[in-house]
Amino acid sequence: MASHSSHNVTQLLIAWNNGDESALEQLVPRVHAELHRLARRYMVQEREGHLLQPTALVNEAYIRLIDWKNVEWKNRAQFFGVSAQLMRRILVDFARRRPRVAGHTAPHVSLDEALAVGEGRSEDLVAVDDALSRLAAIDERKSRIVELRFFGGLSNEEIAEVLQISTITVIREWNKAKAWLYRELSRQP
Amino acid sequence: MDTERWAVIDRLIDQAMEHPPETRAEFLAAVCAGDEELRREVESLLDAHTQSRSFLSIPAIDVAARDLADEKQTSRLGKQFGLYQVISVLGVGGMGEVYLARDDRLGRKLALKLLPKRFTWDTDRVRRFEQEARAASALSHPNIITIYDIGELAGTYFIAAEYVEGQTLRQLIERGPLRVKDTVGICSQVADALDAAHEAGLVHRDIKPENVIVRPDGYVKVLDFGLVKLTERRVLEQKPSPGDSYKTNPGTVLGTVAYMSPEQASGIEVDRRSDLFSLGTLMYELLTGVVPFKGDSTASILDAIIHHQPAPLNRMSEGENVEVERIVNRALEKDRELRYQTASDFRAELKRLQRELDSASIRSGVGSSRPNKLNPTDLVIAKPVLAIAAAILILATLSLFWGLSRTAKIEPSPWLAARSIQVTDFPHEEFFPSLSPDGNTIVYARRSGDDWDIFAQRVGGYNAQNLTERSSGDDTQPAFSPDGAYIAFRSERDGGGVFVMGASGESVRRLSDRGPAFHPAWSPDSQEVIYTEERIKDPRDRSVLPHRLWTVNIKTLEKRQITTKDVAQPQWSPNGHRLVYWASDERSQRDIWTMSPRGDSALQVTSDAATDWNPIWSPDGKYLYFVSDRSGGMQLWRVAIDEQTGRVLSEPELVPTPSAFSQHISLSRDGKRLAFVNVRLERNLYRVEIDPRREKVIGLPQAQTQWSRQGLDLDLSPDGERLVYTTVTDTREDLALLNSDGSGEPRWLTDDEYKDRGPRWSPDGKRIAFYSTRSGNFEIWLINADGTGLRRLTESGNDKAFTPLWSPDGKRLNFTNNKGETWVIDVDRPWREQTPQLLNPKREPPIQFWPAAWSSDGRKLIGGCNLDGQRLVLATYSFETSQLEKISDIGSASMAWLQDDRRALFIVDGTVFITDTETKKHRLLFAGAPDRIIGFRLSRDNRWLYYILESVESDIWLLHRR
Repeated sequence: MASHSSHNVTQLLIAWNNGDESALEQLVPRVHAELHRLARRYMVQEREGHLLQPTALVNEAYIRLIDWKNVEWKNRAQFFGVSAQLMRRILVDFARRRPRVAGHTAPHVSLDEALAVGEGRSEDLVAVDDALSRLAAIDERKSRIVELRFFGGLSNEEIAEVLQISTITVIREWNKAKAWLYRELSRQP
Repeated sequence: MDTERWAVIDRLIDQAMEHPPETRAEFLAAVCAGDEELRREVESLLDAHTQSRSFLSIPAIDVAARDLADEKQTSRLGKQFGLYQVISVLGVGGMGEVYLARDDRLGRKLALKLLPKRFTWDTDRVRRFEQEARAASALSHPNIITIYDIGELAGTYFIAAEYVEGQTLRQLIERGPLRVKDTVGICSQVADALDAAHEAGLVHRDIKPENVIVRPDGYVKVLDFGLVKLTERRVLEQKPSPGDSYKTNPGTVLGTVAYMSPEQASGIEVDRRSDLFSLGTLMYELLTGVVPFKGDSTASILDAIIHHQPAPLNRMSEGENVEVERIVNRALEKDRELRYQTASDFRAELKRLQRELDSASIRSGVGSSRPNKLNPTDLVIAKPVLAIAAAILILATLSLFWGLSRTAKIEPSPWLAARSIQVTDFPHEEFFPSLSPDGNTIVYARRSGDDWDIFAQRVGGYNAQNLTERSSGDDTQPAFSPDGAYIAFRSERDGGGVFVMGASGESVRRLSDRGPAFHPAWSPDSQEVIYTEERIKDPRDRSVLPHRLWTVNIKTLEKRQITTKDVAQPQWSPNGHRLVYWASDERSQRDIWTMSPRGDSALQVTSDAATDWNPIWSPDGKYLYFVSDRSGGMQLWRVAIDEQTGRVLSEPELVPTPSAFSQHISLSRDGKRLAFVNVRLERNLYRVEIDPRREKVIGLPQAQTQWSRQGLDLDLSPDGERLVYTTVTDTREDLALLNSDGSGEPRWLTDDEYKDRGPRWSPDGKRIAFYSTRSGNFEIWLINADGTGLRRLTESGNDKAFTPLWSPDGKRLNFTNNKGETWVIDVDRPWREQTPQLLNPKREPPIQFWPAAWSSDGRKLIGGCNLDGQRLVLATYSFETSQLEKISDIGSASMAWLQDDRRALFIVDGTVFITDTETKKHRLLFAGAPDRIIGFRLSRDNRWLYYILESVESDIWLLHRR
């Protein structure tokens, strides 16, 4: 049984999917709250051995947001698709508004730092988002797989279910999509 | 790109993946049938495929969360990060922040590089980060930046490195070419650093002006050692665009290209000789102000490196110097077989040139107005540059690979990639870890309630089982027997001694006689236990009593004395060939030694000013591990040794731990687990008001200082205004003055490499007597309180002279030598005219007397004395009767008379007691527990007790290597 709040999220997702943009306004703070909660977890001084178990933490975050394992949803696949899209939109918006550390001025930054800025873009959500849009233009399916997995937090099996393809294909497509994006992001601007 | 073309590429990638890597190129050449662009496209995606394995491996929400966490932590200024106090920002870049920080325990500044959480998503990167930083940290060389510490705190990876003030060569070159002499001096230091790195199996791969810092004193420091660079192949892949140019785009990846060797530029595997080419390039640029190989694009620079000869040096630089030209050209040989083959060859040539320049036997052009002359003022006013080695580059690119190319000579330490795990985190102290032979259980001593107990804990578990719960005395220093069946330990129960129990705490039996017996260690066959009569807490504090080494058979309880020579913390070698221990020599130097189990044929392992102690033998017999302050702090080191002969086979090598003060080492039998103690120690000056009449403390202790330096002895000036104390930093011990209310900055009375201890203010407040190694052995010295008039008072030779005490009239001093003889001398008479008076009464065996305070009427001394034989007890000496009288069974090294000259204060085990020397009764006056009082002084009016409180937080850690 989904909790009250996740039930609400589900309702809001349905509303958003049906074109109700105001539903988004209510969804954003929930995702942000979850983000801050996660961030706090990283900041807490934890002992070695308890550190960084991202999978567990993040799964927990998703579950707290949207208890989709328990969602009664006629079209599970559609639901996944919608929530991944939503997460992409909220997270990229979030990232776009954050100040970039690389933009700070500093007394001395070595060449290597400068080099690193170019490479560091790979985890820049905004850059990934841009590149993903370019990928969508030539290969829609790969772009969706990245969206579902990277933004939506879905497993390969869940993606296979959503897209009605085999898990093996998901993995192969995912790897090729990553290679394409990686190369895209590694290019000198 | 259109979707059809992409579909073709996509399909080709799948097909190519089905071919093994070696035949892929062939397959692609065939199917692409001359469509070069198609082939390149597929190949680059295949490359990206292998490189992107961990790319996007964590979900976006996690990326955002880490980003947010970073941001929230960005304002670190003035805050504590782990052990470090963050002072200011040195630099902020795309890959993280570098701060100037201070390690308060060691009182030193350092550069602290923090890796933002958002870059820690890639486990491969993190692994490389750790591995490589550890590799760099293993290099110990004056021209290589020192890495103090690396680790992870609350998910943030960090590197603490030496903080270097100075300018990078890039900054210097920007002002124009350097003088030949300066260039040669700098390059020979760089060559020296490279030599050390190459010997350790590291190829730098990125020698360039940004990575070399020149300090104001002319010392050169090379950064970014052990770090790997762009793989050559990857650079070639980058398609140069028309806008790419080194000149117009400094600060991009192209900057690195100009210093590459031809083999790097061609994508051939590089070796140490590649670094020598880069150094040649650097030298050329320093002399001329321009790089030897230029171009408009990456490709053209690489092309120049591979094919073109640089413009002759003599046209570019000042003067004409055939010899310089020859050296640079040899370094810049395209064919590495024709270059200098080793950094030491290169350095030798530079040194020779330097000598010639110094003697001006060849025309060097020195004094020409054009070159950029290095002068100290330029450098002193230079802004501090960030000087941090590892992290920046580690993360620079995904296509990095591990850059340790091993040389046959030295195996990289297996501990470089070890994982560190904190085993205990109880408040206060945990000490003496001992691993069970299988490495799965760890026993240690921990303060539990009022006493110390021995606990056993599974490695990886958190529940500790108290093995000595029922004993009321302290139980410490546990040692697992090699067969894992027994634990030997020190216990205070039943008169104290060394005991043995079963591995789970059963059947406790006494092994030693009652009395001093410490640090039990097992013979390899688990049949015998050796122990000594001295408890080692701090290696700087040694007991003055003779030391004896005993062995006892655990079955027959038969005891045998092995030797009476100075042996501290002895341990058996794994096959029983030798014992390892440490000892102090006549200069109070602490070194590691080995000897036969019979106590003879002692051989020295280390011999230097560093304090080396706490040695153990590795289970395979090939290494000695020990604790040393040789690089600052207290760190774990190891040295290769021949177990049978005791012959030393290598230089000491750092075992990196995430701790600045480590001690108490234990290894599992397979040598893969190493337990140690991470100690954080703080010493601060406090004062508390006392009521001498009621023998009570009134009011609360007031902290007078937040000392970052470790204070040892102290003395209060007669007017109570000022304090003199011994500060301990690294291997030095100096005297400093401080206002007794803690105000103002400390002022150093001495500031040199000698050990200065036991300062005592003269009764008129004008002079300070102390004992010092400044003439070799410890002797008594005097210095005026304003820092002038330093002079030696004693010439006691090998007997040494310690612990001066002033007579109340300030005319005489007494001191004690290493035989425990106390002598009185005239302060103002030269040594040759002295007729020293010996206080110790004659007796066999000789009486030792270590006075610690002179009564204000001048008639009595109070101090430690061996009246009872082996132990020091509290005693007074009367000048009238020339007799010693025992006051208490308790021994102490720190004492003071009260004004009435009848009662005295003394410290035992961190606690201040008050005793009445007539009734011989004592009672507790003041305890700082759980912290320890290690030194105290009374104000002249007896109202204030000034004391140094030592608080220790220590935890057991484990290094685990694969």
